[in-house]
Amino acid sequence: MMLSPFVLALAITAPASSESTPYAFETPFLIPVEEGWAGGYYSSPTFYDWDGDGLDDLFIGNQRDTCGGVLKIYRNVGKPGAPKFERLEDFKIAGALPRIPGG
Amino acid sequence: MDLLHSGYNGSILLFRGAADRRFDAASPLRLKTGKQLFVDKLKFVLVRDWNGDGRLDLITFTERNTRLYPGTEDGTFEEPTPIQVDGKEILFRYATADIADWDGDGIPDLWTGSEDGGAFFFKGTGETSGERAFHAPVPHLTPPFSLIPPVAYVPRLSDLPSVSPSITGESTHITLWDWNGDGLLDLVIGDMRAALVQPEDPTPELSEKIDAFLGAQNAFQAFMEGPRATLPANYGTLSPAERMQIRNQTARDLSSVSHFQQLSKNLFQKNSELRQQRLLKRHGLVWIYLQKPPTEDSPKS
Repeated sequence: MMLSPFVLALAITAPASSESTPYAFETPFLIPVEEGWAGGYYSSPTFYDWDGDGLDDLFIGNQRDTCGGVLKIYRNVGKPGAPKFERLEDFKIAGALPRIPGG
Repeated sequence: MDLLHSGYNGSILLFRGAADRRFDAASPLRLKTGKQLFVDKLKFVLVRDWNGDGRLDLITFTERNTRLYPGTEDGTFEEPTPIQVDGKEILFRYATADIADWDGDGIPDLWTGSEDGGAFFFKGTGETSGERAFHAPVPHLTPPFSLIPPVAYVPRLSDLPSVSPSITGESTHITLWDWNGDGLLDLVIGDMRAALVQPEDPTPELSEKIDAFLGAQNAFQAFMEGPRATLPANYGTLSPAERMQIRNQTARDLSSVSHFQQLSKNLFQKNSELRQQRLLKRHGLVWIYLQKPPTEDSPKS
């Protein structure tokens, strides 16, 4: 029987790690945007100054369905060291949303 | 800005940036020999100056291995060399990685996610002498350790999207970026999670479907207590590759258990019914883990 990722995901509950960590982090937080939180199915974020204003903008790849996903673009309208993001149009090629295969 | 597209079929296409945020038609990446670069079962690529020679290199992550394609002066790439940890491949699925000098010692380090969550740090080591421009060292990676423990899956199925989650989900996608401008790189992690959306006023038929799903889920979870108990105690600190090996073995062991097949088939069926009703959703979030400034107890570079 072939197992799908769904079953495998259900199959394992990991014990918590008690290992001390050499790098410490603040309590994590999410990226607030107008529609709630930035993200998407299988969110894959990256940053680049898309509009050339000196502030890196946020790109989030995702998998919308089995045919692929879209690339969301969030413009950084904040300040250096205090980013704030607003959703722009999704990335398009020749005016159409490209279907980017997951992998 | 140029755009690189990699596909599972192995092709890597370059969309060269043009004016007005437009892109030229795609052209394939090539090796120095002129041959088109093709990487079987490709999952993910990174473009970084890995070896410190001032040229961008290509790092490919496949289902089987991680490889470095050193960049040349004319935009092509040398034949690949393996990037391994103590002779073992770096493997993960449904996740991504990022490379940067995280600890400030001049050597690129590697962070990876994994299909069952978490973030893994692979410290880069190597030479940083001034001779690097002439004889660029390729750092090797030390064994990983888990900084953010993987999450438990099952309870999240009943999480509601409106309830603020407090920990990253599965399939962690890693990007390193200085979020708050303090000069320290921070972890930016995208994930995936499932959520059951409870309708406010469900019809009796819908309530029946939800109850049936929860019943199937509970039965499945109860059965899985056995396999879960056999996981090694240090599972949360294992590398993505080691965890993958354990999960694959667990799946193989369970594939011949008829009761497991029956329970999983029933759960899939009930799951499909709720998905058709748009009550079982999958979503992903992006988390920011700000790195705290080093203290005297921090590791020395």
